[in-house]
Amino acid sequence: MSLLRAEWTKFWSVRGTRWGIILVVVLTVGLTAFFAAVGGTDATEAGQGDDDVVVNSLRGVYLGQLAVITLGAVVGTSEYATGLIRTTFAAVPRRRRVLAAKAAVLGMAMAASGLLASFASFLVSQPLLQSNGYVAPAYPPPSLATEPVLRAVIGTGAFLTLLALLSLGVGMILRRAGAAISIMVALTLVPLIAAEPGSPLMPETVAVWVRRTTPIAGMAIQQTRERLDTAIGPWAGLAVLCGWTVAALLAAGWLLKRRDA
Amino acid sequence: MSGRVMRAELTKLRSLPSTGWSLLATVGLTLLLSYVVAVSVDTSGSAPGCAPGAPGCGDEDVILNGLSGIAFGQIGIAAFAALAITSEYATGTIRTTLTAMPRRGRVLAGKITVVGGLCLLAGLGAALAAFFLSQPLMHGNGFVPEQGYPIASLTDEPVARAVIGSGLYLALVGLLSLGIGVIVRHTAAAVTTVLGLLFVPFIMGLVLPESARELFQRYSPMSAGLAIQRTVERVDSVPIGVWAGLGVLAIWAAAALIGAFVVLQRRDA
Repeated sequence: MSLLRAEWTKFWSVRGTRWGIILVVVLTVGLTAFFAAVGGTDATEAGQGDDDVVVNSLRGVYLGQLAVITLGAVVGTSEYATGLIRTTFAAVPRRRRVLAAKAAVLGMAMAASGLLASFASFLVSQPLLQSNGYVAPAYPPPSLATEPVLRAVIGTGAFLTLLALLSLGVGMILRRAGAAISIMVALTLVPLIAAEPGSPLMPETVAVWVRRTTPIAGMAIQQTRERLDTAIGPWAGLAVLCGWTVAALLAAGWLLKRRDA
Repeated sequence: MSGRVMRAELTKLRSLPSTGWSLLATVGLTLLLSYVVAVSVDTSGSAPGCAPGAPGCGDEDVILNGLSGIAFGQIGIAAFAALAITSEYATGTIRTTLTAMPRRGRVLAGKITVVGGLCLLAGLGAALAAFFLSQPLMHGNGFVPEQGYPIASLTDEPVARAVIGSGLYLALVGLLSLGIGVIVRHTAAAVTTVLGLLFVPFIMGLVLPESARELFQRYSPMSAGLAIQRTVERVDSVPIGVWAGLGVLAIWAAAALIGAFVVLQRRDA
């Protein structure tokens, strides 16, 4: 318990944590609202159209995840930059407990701001989407009381939390913020671009596998309808991200035990 | 600017462990994505009104596809250039540097020369390697003269411009990153800001509806700057001229460096 309190204190006393948390919410909600405000619908009078309005109301994670990645990497590396890590390990020689406590504190803070970001995004963007032509019969307004919608919105918070923990693991492995952030961007934003549906860079057969196996598979949790470009189911996608996160944290724990600090 | 300032900057960079890694990553990541793209594109796409596979009908840009790894390699460049200045703030060396050379504008000019030069070298190396790696692969994938894809040669003007331009692109990304690094003085913040500035407007240029897309494609540093790699005009080409696009990136980089100059003069180190 005192270990958790110690990590809690360190978490909030690092320059930038507060900003990171605020940015996660502001960037996610801001970009979602922007997308919703400028987006048009493909629906016709006859009621066709296969846009996923729930995905469209959570799209701000494209930008929000950048703040999430930075936050996770900073929590994982800042003690190495200042040398505080040696004090920490002198006080708590069981190093993997330190990692567990860091993960717990970061996870709690991220879950709170991630959920705030996803619910706010959904609530802000729905009226905007409706005024842009996303209306019945093609697009009945989604309700938070139905299972797929609630799962998508809460799942977005879970996606951001898992991504932060993955970034923490990568940070503890590399011990340098610049390297950790670069690797994380290479694992998330780059596949998001290169394997985007309809991307000219690779045929759909290859792109589908990139969307299934990289950490961005976790974004599948936002899907509420099957489309032609659907690569992986919602829960399977989140499980893939879970696998990445667990692997990174296990590797970090193993290295912590073996390496000199 | 004297040679001594530049030599000092070069020594500091050489003694930084991140320099070797990040420049190596630039070349490695470029080759990785270029390889994946080169082995996975096929000739099925064709110009409107043409029978697929008919000679002279393909509209794939083999040069641009082969150089697409630059978009991945720029992550290494962004990290390298940001760390060239933020590492001095992290360790406190910046105070020694500014004591030894109190004219801060000269310190910045020295960094611009050395960091820009190294980024240009790494960028040209990465672009040339990606070109020579990807062209035979795509040739084997059916991009042959009979299908309307002549063998690309570096002596052709558009090809040389695309390859050298890719090196210039990475040099400008490096200068943008250096400028932002001076302004925010913190590695994590600098790297995130640069990568966000590059990738996020680029993604928006992909997913936004037609009307809003154009604005982002024209003025975002990445999509505008990468226009320099284009050798075939297609319907989905970024709507900006090849050199004008690189010019947009140059303006972004210049703005960051001017901001860096101003804050470096005014702030306590």
